[in-house]
Amino acid sequence: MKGKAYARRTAFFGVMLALALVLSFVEHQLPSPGIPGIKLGLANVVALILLYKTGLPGALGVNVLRVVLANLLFGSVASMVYGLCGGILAVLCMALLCRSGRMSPAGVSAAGGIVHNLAQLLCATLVTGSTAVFAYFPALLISGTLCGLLTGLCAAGALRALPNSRNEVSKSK
Amino acid sequence: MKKADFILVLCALAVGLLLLLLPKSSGERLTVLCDGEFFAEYPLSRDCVVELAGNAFEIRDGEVFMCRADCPGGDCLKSRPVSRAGESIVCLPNRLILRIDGKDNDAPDAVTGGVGG
Repeated sequence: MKGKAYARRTAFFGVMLALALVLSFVEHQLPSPGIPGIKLGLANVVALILLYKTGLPGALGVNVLRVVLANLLFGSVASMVYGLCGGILAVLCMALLCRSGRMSPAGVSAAGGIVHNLAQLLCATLVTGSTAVFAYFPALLISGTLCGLLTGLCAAGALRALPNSRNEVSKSK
Repeated sequence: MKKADFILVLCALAVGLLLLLLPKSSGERLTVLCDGEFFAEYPLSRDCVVELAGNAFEIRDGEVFMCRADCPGGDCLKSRPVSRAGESIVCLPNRLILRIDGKDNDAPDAVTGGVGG
């Protein structure tokens, strides 16, 4: 790998990670609704953009780093486990749907939101050893769909505005 | 937006709303689960405050809510009071579940209890 391309790639992912962390921070400042697990998922905008611009490895890597760093900075180790569980499965699901080509970023993101919340519920089921947490499922299904749709529309707007730099970034892999 | 997007979003919303609107029977008693195992049971008809190791909860006017938690997040403190069968308040850090049961609840946790906990 050439030095310049390597530097460009490192800088690009660094900026994206910083952007995702800022979005996580902004989201952390928002008041929590009465039901745990309901959240906007603003940082998902970055994951989606990376998924479409660079492919799965970049999106997954940045998302995992973002969850770990965000929870170290203003979360807890317990919430990190849930975040990782939801984050990884959601990105994998979004990558599959993105590759299928049948959905636009908004739909892919809505599916990601649903999978994220479902993964966290499964994780909570394992931790508590009880399926009682699934009482939250209907509310989380609706909120995951709507919030995913919203972040997906944001990402779609950003993707349209961004220059088509896919080759520039992934060429150096 | 493509057709598949609309189908996914509408289906998910429909299923979610349907589950939310399903009639729930009113609760009879509060079951406290710790680490996925049965810990104690309280009737909703009697008001009381129960102190546990990391948490405290209160039963008042047939509703249950968490009034103390020593975890940093405090999600359970922000949870709305629960009163209907099947509803629950969960404190994940302390692995504590407050679950409302109805009259003829055949306790699904008798089957699934302790999985992975």
